[in-house]
Amino acid sequence: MTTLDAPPEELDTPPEEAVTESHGEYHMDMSFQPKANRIGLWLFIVSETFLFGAFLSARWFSTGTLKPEELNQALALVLTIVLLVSSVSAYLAETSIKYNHRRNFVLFTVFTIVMGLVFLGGVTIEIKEAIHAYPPETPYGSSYFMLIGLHAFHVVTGLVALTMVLVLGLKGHYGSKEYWGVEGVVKYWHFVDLAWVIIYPTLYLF
Amino acid sequence: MTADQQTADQQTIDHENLKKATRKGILAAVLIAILSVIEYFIAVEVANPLWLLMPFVIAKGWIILDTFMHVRALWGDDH
Repeated sequence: MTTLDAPPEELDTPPEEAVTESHGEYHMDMSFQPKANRIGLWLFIVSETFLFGAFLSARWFSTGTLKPEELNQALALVLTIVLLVSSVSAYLAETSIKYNHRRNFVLFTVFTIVMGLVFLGGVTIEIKEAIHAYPPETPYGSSYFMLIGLHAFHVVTGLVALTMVLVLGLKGHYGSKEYWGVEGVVKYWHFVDLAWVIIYPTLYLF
Repeated sequence: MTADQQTADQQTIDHENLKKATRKGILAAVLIAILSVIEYFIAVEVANPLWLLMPFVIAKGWIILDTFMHVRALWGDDH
């Protein structure tokens, strides 16, 4: 019986299925928590999608499909592959901890962080070229720098989160039964990759 | 992590499922990489490629959502 279904006189008593008594103390059954965490993270991802969507639509609104000749499409393709490699490596880190392979979890997390840093290095080179070719004052430049900057900021926050997960993993946290921390961070990293999959053609290809 | 802990962990590694999941992830990544390269060459060769590239963006997005982000776990349970 849920709390809402209970008659008024029973409301003071915690529902039996949610609370167990042990050593004279009540303990909440937290088995619902992973699902609640997952839904919470997805809601956050949806809100982030709206944020990126606003800036993507600004690019269409301000310049349509026009793009400057100087765009470095080849470098952007390399960056796409680098981020993809980091994404599959993050997936392998998550899978490794899920099946209890700690050594691989650490190796793949480190590799993901390195790939993220390589991506940021590539973006820096791209920005150095772009700042002269299509400055932020131009319609295309303003969309370009907002989108690239917003995405790079997400890469940086993802790297910070991955580093935290790595440190906790090295201290012995996480295992096949409890790896929500890894799953959450890796999911966020995949979202960063997903955002790039849309930003890349929007800025460089269409 | 102590050596004893490491040994205990090594013993409980689910190698079979790990191998399956690894293969699935690498296959998805190779597919995305191939789509990205085709997408690039279409963009370079074709004028106004917007509608030609749209299916590539959708396909790549779905592969990431499904394989890497386990979006289907929200209404099913693959965990």
